[in-house]
Amino acid sequence: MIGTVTDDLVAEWSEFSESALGGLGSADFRTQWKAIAGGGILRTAASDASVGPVTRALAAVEGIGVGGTPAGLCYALASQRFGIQFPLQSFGAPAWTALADGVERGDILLCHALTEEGGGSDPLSMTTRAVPSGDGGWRLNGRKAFVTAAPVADHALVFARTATERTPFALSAFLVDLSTSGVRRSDPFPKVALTGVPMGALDFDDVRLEPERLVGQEGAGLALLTTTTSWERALLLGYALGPMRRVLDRTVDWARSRRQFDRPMGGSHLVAGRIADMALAVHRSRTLVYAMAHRFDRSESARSLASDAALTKISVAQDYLEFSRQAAMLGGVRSFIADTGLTVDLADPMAASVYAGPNDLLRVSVARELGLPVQN
Amino acid sequence: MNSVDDLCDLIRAILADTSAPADVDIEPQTALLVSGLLDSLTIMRIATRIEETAGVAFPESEVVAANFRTPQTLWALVETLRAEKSAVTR
Ligand SMILES: Cc1cc2nc3c(=O)[nH]c(=O)nc-3n(C[C@H](O)[C@H](O)[C@H](O)COP(=O)(O)OP(=O)(O)OC[C@H]3O[C@@H](n4cnc5c(N)ncnc54)[C@H](O)[C@@H]3O)c2cc1C
Repeated sequence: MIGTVTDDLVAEWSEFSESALGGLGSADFRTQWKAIAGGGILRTAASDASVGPVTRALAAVEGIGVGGTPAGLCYALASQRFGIQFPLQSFGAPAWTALADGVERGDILLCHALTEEGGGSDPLSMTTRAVPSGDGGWRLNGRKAFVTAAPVADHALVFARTATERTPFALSAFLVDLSTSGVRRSDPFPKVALTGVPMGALDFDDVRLEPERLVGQEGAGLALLTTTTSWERALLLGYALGPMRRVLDRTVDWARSRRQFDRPMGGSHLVAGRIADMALAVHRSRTLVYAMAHRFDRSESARSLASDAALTKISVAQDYLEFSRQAAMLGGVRSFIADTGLTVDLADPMAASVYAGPNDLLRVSVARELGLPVQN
Repeated sequence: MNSVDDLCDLIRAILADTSAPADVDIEPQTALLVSGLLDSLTIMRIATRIEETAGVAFPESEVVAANFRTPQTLWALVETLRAEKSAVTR
């Protein structure tokens, strides 16, 4: 939970990130990644009685954001840490064990390849396919698109169809080495949200996969997907906490120092009230995300947390967007000029309503969990 | 939960809660997968309810077709998980 220990961790990570990224402002993505990973953010800390490993990882992600790490890099680190590493660790896959050390050091970069051009919201419609190659291995064919970090990653967690029918057990997951012959990475897509991390497509043309590349059993894709999405929905938006706190601080400074109508702008009750609303959004989001971290630390299963994870994701995504709208309004014209120190990016928070399960699809799952006869 | 019939009751109750057709009967040998009865949320809910009522952890890695073919195959898994659990605690 949030307390002085987590606050201290956040402060330590904030300081670390400022010095680690100092002078690397124009360095490429992998260089910046390695610099932050060097502090151990991707390593599972030895458990200590007061703060569990998930809460520690969340405090680290928040801390680097508070320290000014670009939002895209915060997002990418959180996405790999919570959406791939923790789930694979809990799933216990041999293919993961072989990579874990390099990933934790920041030398091996992963991406999560689920979405296809034909159906993002509907994973069972995927056409990427793995067929047995006769020697216990597999042959992989198809195309994944809109995958964060795909243009720069070393390995991908790829979901593919291993049965033709549209059943929940038709999917399996593979950890694919992207240097294998037959794999092609696209150029980075000209993405306009979270520009700090590249996004792209992966093409698989008859890629040979050894048997041990399969994660879990054949048909366990659904179970793994339930695990990864539950982790993601619960914790990925933890990446936004740091950037939100920075924007809140600078908005307060701005409202105190800017004078209009013969008084500081923050002397207007309307302005002050909006800033209080911004603080409310940060408070609510922080409380929700840390509460989910605490529950993972108490070993509650990803499956049992799925519904609360969805609620957390919807709530933080909405709060982050509303928060950013307030900040953009109060910054005035300076919100839209790059070097004012008050620039607000509205695309990043809006994208949060789409990735890790579009908010409206999550609403339907939540409603169904409540007993309504609805289906996506 | 003491028998495959109890497990059939559990599955029936979960299906009654969802939009599945109410008139399917669930017997130990009912084919759960070919009939398209179970979607992903229903499967996850069955696994969770088994955990709650059978007192065993249902590992994610066991959420696979082989175990969900019929109530009987699912019951066999529950018995295996129970045996493993008592072997560990003994
Ligand atoms: C910044 C970013 C990073 C991403 N990173 C990754 C990644 O690393 N790996 C990966 O695999 N994918 C990634 N994605 C892709 C993401 O998972 C998909 O965008 C998402 O699943 C939605 O799919 P879609 O974009 O095809 O939307 P569509 O399926 O075309 O849906 C569009 C919109 O229509 C509405 N909608 C559609 N169907 C329904 C319905 N049944 N009920 C209610 N509303 C509905 C929703 O509002 C939805 O947002 C990323 C996306 C973004 C924006």
